[in-house]
Amino acid sequence: MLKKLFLIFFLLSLTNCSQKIENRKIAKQIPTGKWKYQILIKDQIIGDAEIETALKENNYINRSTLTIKSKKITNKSILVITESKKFEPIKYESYKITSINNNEAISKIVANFKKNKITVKTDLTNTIITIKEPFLLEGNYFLNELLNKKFSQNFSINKKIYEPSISNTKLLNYQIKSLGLKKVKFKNNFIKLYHIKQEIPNLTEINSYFNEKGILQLAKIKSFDTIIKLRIVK
Amino acid sequence: MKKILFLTILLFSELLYSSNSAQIVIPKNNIKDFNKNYHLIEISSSNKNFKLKNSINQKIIGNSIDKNKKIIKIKIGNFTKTKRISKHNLNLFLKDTRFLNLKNPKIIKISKKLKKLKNISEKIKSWVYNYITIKTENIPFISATSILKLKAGDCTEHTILTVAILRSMKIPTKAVVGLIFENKYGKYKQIYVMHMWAKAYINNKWVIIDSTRNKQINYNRYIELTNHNLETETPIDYLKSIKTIKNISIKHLN
Repeated sequence: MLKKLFLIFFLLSLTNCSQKIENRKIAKQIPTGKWKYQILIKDQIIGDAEIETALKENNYINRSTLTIKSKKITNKSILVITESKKFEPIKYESYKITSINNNEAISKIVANFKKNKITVKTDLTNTIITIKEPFLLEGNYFLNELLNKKFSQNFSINKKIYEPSISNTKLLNYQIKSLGLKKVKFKNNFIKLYHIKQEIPNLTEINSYFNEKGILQLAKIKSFDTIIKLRIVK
Repeated sequence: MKKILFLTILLFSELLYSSNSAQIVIPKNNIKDFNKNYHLIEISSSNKNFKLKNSINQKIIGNSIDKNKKIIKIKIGNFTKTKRISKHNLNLFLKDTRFLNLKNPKIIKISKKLKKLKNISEKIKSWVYNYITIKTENIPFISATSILKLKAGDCTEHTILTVAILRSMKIPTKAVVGLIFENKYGKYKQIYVMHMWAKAYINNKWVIIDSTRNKQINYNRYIELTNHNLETETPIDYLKSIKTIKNISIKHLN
């Protein structure tokens, strides 16, 4: 009996949830702000992340910070992507800071973009790369397109992106597909979110879930045989 | 999108060798006698594109597909033999990368000092093992310069520093990613753990240099999955290979 009651309650809660969704208005603009996330493996928190999007002097500045702490070590990785309001790449900065017992090591990659010319500076190297094809950074272009299409199911985008943590010199095919509203287990509840599949074909794929405001709520990444989750805190 | 790709890459490179992300494979059966020259193993993945290559410590015996599983039978042991390789092909394994920092004066100084010694591979292995005093996991993919500064790391950091010193001596060296058999690993007994090690071309043959262990190594404990070119955190070829490893399982056949 209790089980039946629970089932009815559960179904009702889902109905409520879906009704709310139908009334939801999808954001028209890329959301700006700062969001905090937890990183989980097998439902155990192993670190945290922060994603920030700001619009400054007509440029989007996207800052992502990943922190993983253990007893002796703190790893902080920061990525700052600067792109124009039209999503043209301006700057890519990646900093990795590892601290162990008050000893700190920092490594960086800074890439500046001027049309098809990329100047990549690392700790000890300085390289200039010319890429003829048009490309984007993993910035706001994709989310902007998804919002414009109101996350419509089966809407997809294929573009070339530059991501120096995978390749310094080659562009990567990047595919985004909107899979529609899905019921997703979020902590102990089920909520409806827009399911987006992001993929670098044959290399890696991420399943991410957005709310109607275009804010990432949950991402699932499969690494080897383990699922890593990124879950919003606030 | 929304920088998740970047976070993925970081997480992927940071957690692959970490025990808390459980990148381990528990074999279906135990090995009774580990002193054999070689072991016969059946390794399977639920991705049909899963591939292994012949190497100095593994020979492919057969490939088959059963119920959507790719099964590869291999012999693992010491199959090292002298083989002349052209300079052109070896140059690839002498390259500097942003993680190796071959022009760093500290790396040059260490390699000059160690080059004078006899039995270079053992001496470098021992030097790196003793230099990295903080044996710890969960360090992201960092450069040889940073490793020298922090004196800390797991198999990844031991390998990057080993490759940097060897390449600085003009010894062709590659970084290999695979599985190593451990009799005991945390709470587990007799398991395969994700691992990274170096392979150097010395006296016309490739040899394994695993600086995480300051002792004689057994070639019959290593399963080579793929190489890592140490040019970026997660190079394309490496990602391609890793993607084919799904629901991996291992069975000892002898």
